[in-house]
Amino acid sequence: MELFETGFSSLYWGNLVMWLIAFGFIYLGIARKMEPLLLVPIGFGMLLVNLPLGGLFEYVEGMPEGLLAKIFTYLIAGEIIPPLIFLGLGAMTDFGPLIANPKTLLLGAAAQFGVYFVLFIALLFGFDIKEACSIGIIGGADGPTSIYLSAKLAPHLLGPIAVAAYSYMALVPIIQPPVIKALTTKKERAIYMSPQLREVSTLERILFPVIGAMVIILLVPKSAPLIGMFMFGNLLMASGVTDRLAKTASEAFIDILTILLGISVGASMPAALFLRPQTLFIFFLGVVAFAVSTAAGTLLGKLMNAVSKEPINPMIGAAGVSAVPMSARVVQKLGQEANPRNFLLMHAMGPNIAGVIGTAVAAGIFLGMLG
Amino acid sequence: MVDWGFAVQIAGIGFLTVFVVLSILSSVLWLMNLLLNKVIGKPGKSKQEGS
Repeated sequence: MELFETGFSSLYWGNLVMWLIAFGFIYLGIARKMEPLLLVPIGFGMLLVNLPLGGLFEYVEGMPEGLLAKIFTYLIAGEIIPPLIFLGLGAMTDFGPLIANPKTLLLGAAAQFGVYFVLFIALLFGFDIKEACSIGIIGGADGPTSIYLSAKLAPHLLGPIAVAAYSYMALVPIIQPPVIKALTTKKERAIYMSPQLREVSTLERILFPVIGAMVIILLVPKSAPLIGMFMFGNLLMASGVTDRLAKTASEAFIDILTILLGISVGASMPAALFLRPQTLFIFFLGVVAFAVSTAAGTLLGKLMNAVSKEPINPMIGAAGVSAVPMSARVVQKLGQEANPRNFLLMHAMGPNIAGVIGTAVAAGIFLGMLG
Repeated sequence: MVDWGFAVQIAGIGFLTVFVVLSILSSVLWLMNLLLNKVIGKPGKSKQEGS
């Protein structure tokens, strides 16, 4: 084989930089076990697409030719996989903590603040309003919603936004603790919350996805694909009579979707697209959005603690971003560090689930106004 | 040229609407619990976390 037929002839420094980034993702996923289900496929996709002449992410006259380009274009940018991932998430999410403590929905709303804050910063950076909304939604820390919104409002930014959103979801344990610690005292972090929640009946669990879908979709119709699938998936689980469907949706189905999504999102990052100022701005704005959302949730948690009869550990507000269950786990870990008696996981799951709903609603509102 | 008025409108209305929608949902959940307690009777007082 002649040298010019190999990928070596087309290698340039940008590919090498992307290899390092891909190795970093794979290392964090495998060696550090940081969200390996996301980081390993994304990292490997990134590596594959930066091996020149492979053609996996090739487009010819605007039409996808390569395998991963087809998956990305038809299933991800085509808005099929993101809502279906919501179906799987719904089927694996216990709404019990949210139903038992409905006021935690407000924490999920507060933690969307970063989305709107960064919208303005993105405008200052020169992005237009649709691009700014798509970048801001990264602050919700919800990969499928970020993809769904940017595919509609700013499809040319879909790759960087998707990688940023999924990277930050995986990096929750690194990004959130400093923000939470900066805004809370050790005494606040040690606030004890009883691990007991009120019992949630099967009837409530069945009614919530039905009524929740009706209320939200009637109020924000454009949120229907995400909220509709999320609630449907949850009904499959809660009903108790569709166990086979719920099991498939929450295991094999979502695993297949995650594989397709992860590797093709990673593949959407060839060096020529990734290594430019615009992408770096998106990554910078994404982390700002995420940090501000974490801060806003924590601050509302402090306020609720101040006005509530029962003590509320303000850290549970930080779980109002959508990264389920990573954020709740971070709060649990910080809570136990401050007070080993504390078991905040279930208290943090309420705002965490509310964050998923809140981000999908925020996306629906953007689509209603701009779509 | 950035239309800052429009941006403020989108952000303001957007954030407010998220709060309103989730507040309504929160009220619906509270009301649902109240009604079910009246109609069916109160379920067990509490249960252990994670159960």
